[in-house]
Amino acid sequence: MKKTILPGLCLILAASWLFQGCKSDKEGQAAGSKPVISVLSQSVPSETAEVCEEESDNVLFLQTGTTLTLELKFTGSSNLSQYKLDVHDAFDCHEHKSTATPWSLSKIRDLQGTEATVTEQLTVPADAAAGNYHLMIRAVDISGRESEEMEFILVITNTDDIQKPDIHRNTPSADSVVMSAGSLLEIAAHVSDDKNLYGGSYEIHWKDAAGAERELLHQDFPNNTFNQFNIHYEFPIPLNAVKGWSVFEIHARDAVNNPAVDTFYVDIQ
Amino acid sequence: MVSAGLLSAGIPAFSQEHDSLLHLLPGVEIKSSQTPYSPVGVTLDYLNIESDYLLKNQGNTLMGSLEKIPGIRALSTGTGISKPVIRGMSLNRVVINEYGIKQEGQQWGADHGLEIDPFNVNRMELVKGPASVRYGSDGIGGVINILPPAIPRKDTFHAGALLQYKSNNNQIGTSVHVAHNKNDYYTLARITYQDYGSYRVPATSFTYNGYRLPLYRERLKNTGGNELGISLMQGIRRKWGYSSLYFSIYRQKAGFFPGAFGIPRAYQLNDIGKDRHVDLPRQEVQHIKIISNTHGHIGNVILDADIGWQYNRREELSKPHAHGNGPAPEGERALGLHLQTFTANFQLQAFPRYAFSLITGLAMQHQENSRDGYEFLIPAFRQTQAGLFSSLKYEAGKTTWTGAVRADLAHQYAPRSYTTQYDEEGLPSGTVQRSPEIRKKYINGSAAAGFVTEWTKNWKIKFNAGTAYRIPTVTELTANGIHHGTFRHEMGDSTLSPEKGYMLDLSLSTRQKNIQASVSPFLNYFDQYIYLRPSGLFSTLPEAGQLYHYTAGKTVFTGFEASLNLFADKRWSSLTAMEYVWNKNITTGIPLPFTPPYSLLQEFTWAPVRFWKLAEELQFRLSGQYFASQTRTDINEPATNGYFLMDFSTDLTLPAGRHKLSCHFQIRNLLNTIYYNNMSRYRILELPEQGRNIQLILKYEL
Repeated sequence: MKKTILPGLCLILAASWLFQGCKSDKEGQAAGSKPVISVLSQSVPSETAEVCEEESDNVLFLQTGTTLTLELKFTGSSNLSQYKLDVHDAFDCHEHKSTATPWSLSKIRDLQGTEATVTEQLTVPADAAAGNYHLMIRAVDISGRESEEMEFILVITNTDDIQKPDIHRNTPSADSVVMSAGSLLEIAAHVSDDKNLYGGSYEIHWKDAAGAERELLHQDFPNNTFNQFNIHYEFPIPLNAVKGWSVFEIHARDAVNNPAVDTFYVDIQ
Repeated sequence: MVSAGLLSAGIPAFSQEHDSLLHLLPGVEIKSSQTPYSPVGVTLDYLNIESDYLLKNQGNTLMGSLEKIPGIRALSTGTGISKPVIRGMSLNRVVINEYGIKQEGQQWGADHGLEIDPFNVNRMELVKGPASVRYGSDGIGGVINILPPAIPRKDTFHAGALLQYKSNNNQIGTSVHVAHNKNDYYTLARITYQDYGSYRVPATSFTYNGYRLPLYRERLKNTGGNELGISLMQGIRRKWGYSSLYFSIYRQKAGFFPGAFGIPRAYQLNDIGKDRHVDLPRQEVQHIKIISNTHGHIGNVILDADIGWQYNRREELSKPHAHGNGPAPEGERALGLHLQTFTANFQLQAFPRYAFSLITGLAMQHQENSRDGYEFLIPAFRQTQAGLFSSLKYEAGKTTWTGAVRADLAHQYAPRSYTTQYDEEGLPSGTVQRSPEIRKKYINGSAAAGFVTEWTKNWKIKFNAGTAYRIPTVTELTANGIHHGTFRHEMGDSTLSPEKGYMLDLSLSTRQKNIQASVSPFLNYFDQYIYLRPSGLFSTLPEAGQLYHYTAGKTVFTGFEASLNLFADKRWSSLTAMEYVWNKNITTGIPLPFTPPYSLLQEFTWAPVRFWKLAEELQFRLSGQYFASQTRTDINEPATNGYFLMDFSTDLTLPAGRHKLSCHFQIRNLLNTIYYNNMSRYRILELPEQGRNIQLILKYEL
């Protein structure tokens, strides 16, 4: 038995070593490297902040109507082809639709040579909805090698209305209550804002003890609303609801999308 | 030996050949002495596989169960979706036939699976190498023929049930089948259901573009799914032959890791605590088939008629998201594709028992595709193909010569397609053309020739030279949209001409007393190999990344498979197998994407049957498979480090009177190795592959 297996194994090992040798030729993709984007200067400093449950160190705080100036340098191992800038909203991290017009930008510019420096001036529209946005910068070279995406998180506030709405919850009045499955949960809250609420929206979210999240209510403020509104909602807790602590959130956004959240806990038994 | 099924009357001279190849795989039982189902297969590297092998080596999918066979790999997306890769070729370059009818879904998509109930595969044949001359367009990389089950013996009834469990993703599965024959009217039926949760990886986080993102409870969120397969076959066997009607339905619902759609973000990956709940994004697939097979013989002529209709419905669902100026779309169905395929194949075999035999066939197919959903990727289309082929076989002493020719006609039509355009106010401002009108006709001829000979005693040589061709798919001609997940804007090119290849295949095998060995090198050249290549330009669609064009290039593929089987004594045996594929686009000098790395498998089997006379079969297997690093990658495809995986398995079969109970136990990825697979859709996210998986199958047969 060993007589046959041993020479066989030796042969195989030899063959595999041979293959490792053959495979060391680095061609194709390895012959070039990805274009690199670097920021030489920026008019608004990057800050570290928690946005969307994630701590990021590339957060820029901006106001509507102001301009962000970025001096960008692109470097490639072969000639560069293009770069692209994209701005899109990432409101409340859950991609919810907003009634205010979000800022959206998509811009492609050609590049030449293996190194290029450009200055980009991005003006936040005066009527842009407030909230979180992503600014993404990408580059490709002429053979199609893509840079890593460079990303900034923009936290935009509207200069016309900096104040977020205030949510005052009346029912349940305590921040944590105990209720049994099958019973009726009454939610009542008063929303007020220094400016207009109409154009904004309110929502109620429920996250059960198992972590499953549901949107129970999503309404726009009616068009006769000015800066006061009463939310009233009755939720029959399902009989088969997961027992334990669940989380309810009341969300409200004013006309320019400034978000406010009120949280309370219900122990379902 | 039971000789059953198709072409059983033909070519007994090759039964030995068949046996020797089968022995190269452990756990494969030889129950039939068939020659290859595909006549061109004689001079190519082919392998017959029985359902037993699939159970003993069961992976996550049907293709996953074949991955230990050199030259065969799977291109996979999570645990539920995978498609075959033969010698580095995949997508529309591998033909899968079920009962003589080519399986047609949306094969062009890397994350579209093979929509077949894995437990309903009784016998299959793998042919590596060019099979266009027999199967027409697409038969470039190879063919997987799923053969009809053996007809149950006259006046018998069989039934069986199996239960399956996999620890890694808490998969549970069951499959029940019956086979009945009364006076040679027979019925076979099966129902299979599998349900699995999100799978586990040996990591608590992954790094994407500098961000460290969590993998709660070491699971990939939303990668669970379920599948259902129902099939029914009824047939009649008489002296003239047999005829059967087969109906099957397959449904799959499979979730995608939410981070794989767009840039992964921490808030998408929150633990919702529900591993079996299949949320968005996900795919839902349904495949329905009706197939009629008739096989008859009159004198020296064998006639086969295989007629089929199939309907593939594919839906990709994801959360609607506003892009650019337009409003967020309504509903969750991003992409709906509905493909109907009618197939009719006729084949005539003359003088099958003589030294000189002839096979002539006519193959026809018509397809209609329609689309819906809020995203545009490919248009509706119609496609018709017809092919006429003829192959000759001549046996002269120890050598058999084969030669085949084929002529094909094809026509494709797709209307011009439009989508709505929006102005800056978000109001519809007109339409924009997404794909041009396509009216294309193709005429093609292909040919192949080869021989198989007994060189000296116990040594066999096979040689095959042939041309292969493939008409461009409508996707390659017209696609225009962002492929979910990759950000890539994929674009077809309506001027593409068919892919043509010239292929050489050699196989050398020996069968000695204690040793069986084979080596099969191949060399392929394509003058128009079509695949997605980066353009160096950005898509003007908002948030989209680079434009990728379907482009044709001159390419070379070469490599080999080798295996060595040693039988030390009746109990111990060893299998060593390796594969290597090297390719290059010689127009650009860059390798092709998704190329399998060099791999080496070593497996030891211990079958102490003599000790336990109670057991019909008892064996223990330990295998180690080494995958080399893959640095020959396409542009924007990351290099992947090598890795080593160990598997352990035990198979036990107990006879209990007329009944039979078998148990297949496997531990896959025994060492819980953290590794990355360049053949995985999730590789680009830097996500590690599945961790340790303990699997158990219990099968009871009556």
